[in-house]
Amino acid sequence: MNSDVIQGFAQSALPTSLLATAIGSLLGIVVGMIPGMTISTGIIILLPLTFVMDPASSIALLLGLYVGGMMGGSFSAILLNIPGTPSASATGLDGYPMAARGEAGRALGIAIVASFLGGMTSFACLFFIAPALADFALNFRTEDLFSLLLFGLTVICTFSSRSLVKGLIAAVLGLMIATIGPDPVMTTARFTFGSIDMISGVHFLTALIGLFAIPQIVENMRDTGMHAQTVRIAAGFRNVLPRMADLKKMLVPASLGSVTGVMLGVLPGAGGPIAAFLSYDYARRISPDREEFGKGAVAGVAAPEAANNAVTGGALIPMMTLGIPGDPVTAILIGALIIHGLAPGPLLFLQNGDFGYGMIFSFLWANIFNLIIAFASLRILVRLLAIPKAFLMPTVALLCVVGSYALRNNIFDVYVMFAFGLLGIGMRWLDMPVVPLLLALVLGNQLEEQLRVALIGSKGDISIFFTSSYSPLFLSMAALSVIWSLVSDYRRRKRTPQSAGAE
Amino acid sequence: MGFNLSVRQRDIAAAIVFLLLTLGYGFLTARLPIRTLPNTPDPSFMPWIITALLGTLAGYLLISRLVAHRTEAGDKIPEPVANSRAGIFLAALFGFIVLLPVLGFIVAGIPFFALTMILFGERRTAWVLLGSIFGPVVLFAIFRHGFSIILPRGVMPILFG
Repeated sequence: MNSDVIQGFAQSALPTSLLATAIGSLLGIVVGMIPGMTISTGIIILLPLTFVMDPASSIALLLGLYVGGMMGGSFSAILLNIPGTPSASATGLDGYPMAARGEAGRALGIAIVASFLGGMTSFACLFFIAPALADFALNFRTEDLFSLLLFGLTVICTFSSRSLVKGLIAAVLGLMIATIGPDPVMTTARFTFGSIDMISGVHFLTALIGLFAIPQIVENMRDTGMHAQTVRIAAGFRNVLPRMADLKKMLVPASLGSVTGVMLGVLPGAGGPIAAFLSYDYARRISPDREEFGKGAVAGVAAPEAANNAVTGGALIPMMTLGIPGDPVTAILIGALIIHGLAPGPLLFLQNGDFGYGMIFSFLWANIFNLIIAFASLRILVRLLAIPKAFLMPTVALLCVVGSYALRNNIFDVYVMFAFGLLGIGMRWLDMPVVPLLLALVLGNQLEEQLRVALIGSKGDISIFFTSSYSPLFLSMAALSVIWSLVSDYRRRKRTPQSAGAE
Repeated sequence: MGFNLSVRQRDIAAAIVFLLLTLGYGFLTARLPIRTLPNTPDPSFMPWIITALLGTLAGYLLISRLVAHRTEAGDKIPEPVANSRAGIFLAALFGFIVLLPVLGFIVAGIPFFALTMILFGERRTAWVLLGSIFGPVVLFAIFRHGFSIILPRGVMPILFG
């Protein structure tokens, strides 16, 4: 066996790494289940802590939170019909009716086991695909990498918004912000207005805190009394462990959801909600008890729950092997890796193979801890749904300030965070997605560097992007994703003409 | 943020802002230093691409919304993304950030925390007092002693020695 695999396993099994993974899973479940908190917000809260931790433990902590958050979101979806995370929306369709008829424990048990199945499937894919893909990606030349990054950005724009043009504008804004600071080839200062604080540009983690956490707090202000019904419903559940009959019923839909989740997780921007709803739809189509869906079907809980957890491992594949984040969480993971001097991408497995495999095994541990923690402490955990927002949200606001300040011990970054908060609110007002902006900000410098280096290599001849080995493929895929988006937009308009103006 | 504009009106307003942004960004790009290395794109190369892209997309957004047929959905006024309390919260957060280096994390954090608790519906004075003192102090202590992250102390050394 590859020595990196053994060393990676040993690294992930260190007591500090295991403890970090377990704490991350626990916090993830808590953060995921509390409506109004998202996994991104949870990770933002933990972010300052990871600056002072060793790389293996900090990534283990964040991975634990990522995986735990996906599962935690289903708890509030089942118990309150309020998904803790967008990915859990589909779980509530059948989970809540099941809970409403007094089978909350059964629904939660099914969700936990399905999440575990999804997580383990995506671990297997991550373990076998990621190193092989990274190996293959070493063949990519700069022009191929540019086209790949462009494809990644295009896909994010098409998936994350109902309006392609708004998604593209968001991405261009992200690219624009990424140009602030030294240019990636000649290090010439750009758009810094002579300010020392802007010389190194805008750190994307600061932007991320502002873009995600501040609008989230503001949104929570619209409804401050949501938790009143929480504990009353949660108190009624028992018999959490699924029965054999339920396990048999959930096997096919959970497997289907797992595969769908991994496949969609790999696509940047597709994410958990799409995977969950697609899996729900597939499970309904193949089910002999189709009429049960929406009324508390086992498959209706298992398929989306397996899918949204399988997305996590899928999203880690392009992030680890190509350096392309598929969602805000993997973008944060990239940031955490960079802070610790590790560059995600094809070279990760070549230069830090033990660390790369360590990440993969930490992901495995996170899924195992999730299962154990969820079953062992479910009764206590659901009580946390009653935490009042009056305590939670001021704490999150303070942690936003801490997170942006602690990054470079610079008050300017806190102002930047605030400005991005306002931008995030403005983008919500315009129904414009923030994910393309964030990912463009993450990828902007790389994209520019690959483009310019490729052009230097070809002496300014742009035909290199159409003649190299892989670049034409990626460019075609980027074009296809745009065409597909335009076609589906056209079809939607034709189906519902009254929505045309809203797009 | 409760401006009563329809989706269509918002898009038109946004498109105009983006066009102005394009002009401003293009102006700044034109003033970037020129490096005359053979076969090497300038530092302004990417910013010009971005300028062109943003201008095209913003122009498309503006024209498409101006010429689009008026529809029920397009003229619908969406729910506001924030309310007046959110405005107070944002003002308080800005005030907290301004005062942070002067007063320090704890002293500036206490009134901010208290106000945010009230904005989120907490009306019990004792809870507001306890929470607003406990929150910033605990966070400061955790980061300072647990993670060696020193947050601004401001007037704390003067007040507590």
